[in-house]
Amino acid sequence: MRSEYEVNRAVEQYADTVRRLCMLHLKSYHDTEDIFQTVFLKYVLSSVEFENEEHEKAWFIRVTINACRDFVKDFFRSHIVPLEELLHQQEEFTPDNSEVLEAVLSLPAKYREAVYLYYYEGYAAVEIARILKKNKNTVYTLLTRSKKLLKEKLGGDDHET
Amino acid sequence: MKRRLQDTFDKIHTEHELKNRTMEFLAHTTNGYRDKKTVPVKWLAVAAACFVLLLSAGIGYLAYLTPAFAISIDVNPSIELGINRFNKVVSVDTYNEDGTGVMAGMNVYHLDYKEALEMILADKGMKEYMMQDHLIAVTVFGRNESKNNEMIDNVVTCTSPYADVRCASGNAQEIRAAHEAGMSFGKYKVFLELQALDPDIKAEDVQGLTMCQIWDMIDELSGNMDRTDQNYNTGRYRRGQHNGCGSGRGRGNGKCWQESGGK
Repeated sequence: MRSEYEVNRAVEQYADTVRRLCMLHLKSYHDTEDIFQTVFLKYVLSSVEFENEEHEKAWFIRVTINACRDFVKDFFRSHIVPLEELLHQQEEFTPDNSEVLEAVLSLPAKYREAVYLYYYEGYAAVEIARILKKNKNTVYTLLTRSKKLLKEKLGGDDHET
Repeated sequence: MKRRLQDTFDKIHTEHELKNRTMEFLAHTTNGYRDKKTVPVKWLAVAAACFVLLLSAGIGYLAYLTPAFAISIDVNPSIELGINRFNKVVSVDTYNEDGTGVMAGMNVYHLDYKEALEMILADKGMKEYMMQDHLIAVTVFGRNESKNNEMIDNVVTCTSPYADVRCASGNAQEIRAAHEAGMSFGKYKVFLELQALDPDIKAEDVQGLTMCQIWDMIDELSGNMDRTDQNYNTGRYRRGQHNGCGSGRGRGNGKCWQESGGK
């Protein structure tokens, strides 16, 4: 079992990553709290020895995505809270942020994960394939299609990647 | 688009309340980070069931292989059968070359002891010894008298068609002493009878003798040469009609004479 010190450090370091991934999948604050508890309890009990911070971060991303996927398999859990409530959870959001998040959340779940990992976390397609346990070409396809869908909703330059 | 996405996700932060509640939950669930890793109850149950199963199998296997009783058959071949609590033969020891020769071509392991006795007595080589000596000493050792008596009854049934049978039961101390002297405990008991009549006789003196020769010495020393005396009593073994060793002797009456006071 990991020490309290280790766990507090991990919560401070990875809470925002877990929160953002929860935002992509879950529409309720209470659901997010459940996932937080699940993910960090797994971390406490896990005996995995991480090679470096990147390895540890990838572990948190993978465990959070899996936990969220398991959670939203329940149809009722994933459909009971309106999107507005989710957007209101973030006080700093501007109208543009709300528009962007709404556009991202309108994508299928597998697209959302790829978009977040690629555009925000800065992972390459190969790394995303490893984290999501998907084929590299599948990830390229997901990114291409999601970029096209987001451009339709948000507009934007063709030069942007 | 990338910049807008980054700006949006940058503004998503974990609420302090959420962090605090998560840390409280973890501290509570792990009993202050002191609990060992929780193993699901169902796996514990499966592990416990497997352990019990293996333990039972191990105990059963040991119980099966551990001799609880023994039967010593002495004509001239001296053979000891170790019998488990399920009445199966689990060990065979021979104490002279004749015994080794008889058992060489025979496998009585895992047979019921009555079947094993029948197989040994029906053996051609064994029959030849019985033709010469007409006398079988069968000694049983069990942990209680009722079992001894039961085994003697069964032994009598099995052996009476073959020759004059002398039955006795032994105790653990006698068996130990017999094995230390390099004899089967059936032969050792007869040796004790002989020694009671002549204290100068040592175990080495009788090791090379056949059972019949020892009995003849007992007859001689006890001064009773009437081999047909139905009341002949050696003190340890009681026996019935016996016509002595050597050629020309008649067949015994097949009756078993049990030791009195054996344990």
